[in-house]
Amino acid sequence: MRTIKWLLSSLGILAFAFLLWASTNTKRVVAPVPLTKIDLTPGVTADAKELTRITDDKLREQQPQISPDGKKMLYTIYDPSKTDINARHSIAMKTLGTAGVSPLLSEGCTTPSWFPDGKGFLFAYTKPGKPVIAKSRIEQMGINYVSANANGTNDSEPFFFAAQNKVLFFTNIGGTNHVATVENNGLNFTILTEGFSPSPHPKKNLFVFTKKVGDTHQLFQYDLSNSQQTQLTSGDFNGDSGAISPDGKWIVFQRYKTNGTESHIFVMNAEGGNVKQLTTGSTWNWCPTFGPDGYIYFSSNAGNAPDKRYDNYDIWRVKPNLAE
Amino acid sequence: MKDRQLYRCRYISLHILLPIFTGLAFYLFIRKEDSLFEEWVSWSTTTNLELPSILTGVLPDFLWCYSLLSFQQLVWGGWKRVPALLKWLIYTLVPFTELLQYWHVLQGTGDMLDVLAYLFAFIIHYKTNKPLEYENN
Repeated sequence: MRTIKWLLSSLGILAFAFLLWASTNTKRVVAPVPLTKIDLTPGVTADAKELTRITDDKLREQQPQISPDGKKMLYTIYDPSKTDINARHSIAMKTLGTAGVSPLLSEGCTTPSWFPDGKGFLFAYTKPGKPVIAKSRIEQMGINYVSANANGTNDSEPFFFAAQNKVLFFTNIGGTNHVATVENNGLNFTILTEGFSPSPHPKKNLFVFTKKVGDTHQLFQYDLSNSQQTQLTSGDFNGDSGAISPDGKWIVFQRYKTNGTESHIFVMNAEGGNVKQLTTGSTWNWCPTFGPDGYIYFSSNAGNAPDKRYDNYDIWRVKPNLAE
Repeated sequence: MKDRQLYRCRYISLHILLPIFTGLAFYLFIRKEDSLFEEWVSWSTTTNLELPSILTGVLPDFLWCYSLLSFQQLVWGGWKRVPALLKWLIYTLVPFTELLQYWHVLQGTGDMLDVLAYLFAFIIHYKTNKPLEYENN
């Protein structure tokens, strides 16, 4: 009888453990690897040079975006110590080549991207619970909603889409992510395709985005002029966070294995060919973007102590060799 | 005998099943961050209800911890009859999971508020675990 009770007790504990595990967030960057064995030395391949750390503090700096004149960088700061999960993100600006950082918007402002005039920016505002797309001006600050209400349950990563003069972003509808646009006044919400993390071409009527293919994420290009989608990456690795170069000839992206501990920055030409790896080592490098200065800016845990592996991300940049 | 069965049914419903399903409901209908639960059933929270994330984050943990303690009480016929080893295993291991999350050994964020939620569940359960004791006395 006592054995049965112990058995039932154990089952209860297992059920509790299962509930805790199943309730964890699906978006995670954690792997059960012995921390002391990880070498986070930054490194680049022969196709890249001038690897430089741009920001350096104890929080997570991510999603860098360089101003059209190449002088300023907007980025998101994530502070995991804040108890309100909707207030952990804030937006800061750094003048490249200088030491200082200007905090712009705090409490739930994330994933900024520049307007073409370099004076204002779009971002997602998560403080209301259901994120909304918002905009602000560097000189005036403040939070102006683009849409009066959220379009889906997770309006994220807005970009100004020059070819359409609209805002391109993704949101979650009915449990699935969709790439969509709204007018600059927030009207005419239009769903374009299933997928997420869109990034517009600087001039043409197309964008790159990520879509789930089997168990992996792969990069696609959607040409709105002929409604044709082209898969750019394939295979066992995930292709994610694509961004097009200012001249439209190259795409930078992040490549990693599912449940892997490394993520590296790659470039490929606009057709998906001539793929070049830029970063190496055991580091996690993600959310890359091109600057007009020819550098690629990205977030990385390179150079950290192993016990700070997932606590500290900084913005780095690297000069890619883009010879055909 | 019938009263005893009715009592047990009521105890299981109120102290074990209700906390479990309430915690699940928080994840499925209120909490906006996607969980593995929601991924498995292809479900995403769409509510407009705005509750402080501090509440939606720790309440399910509190409820499930309370449910675990109530289940142990049911299995052993009273909290006083639960072996001391098991009691202390639960009292130490459950908060320890948060520490393991903080160290990235387990999946999760490792939140001090979750530890407080567990401690609160321990206290609430300890103070209110009388009914089943009466039944067995």
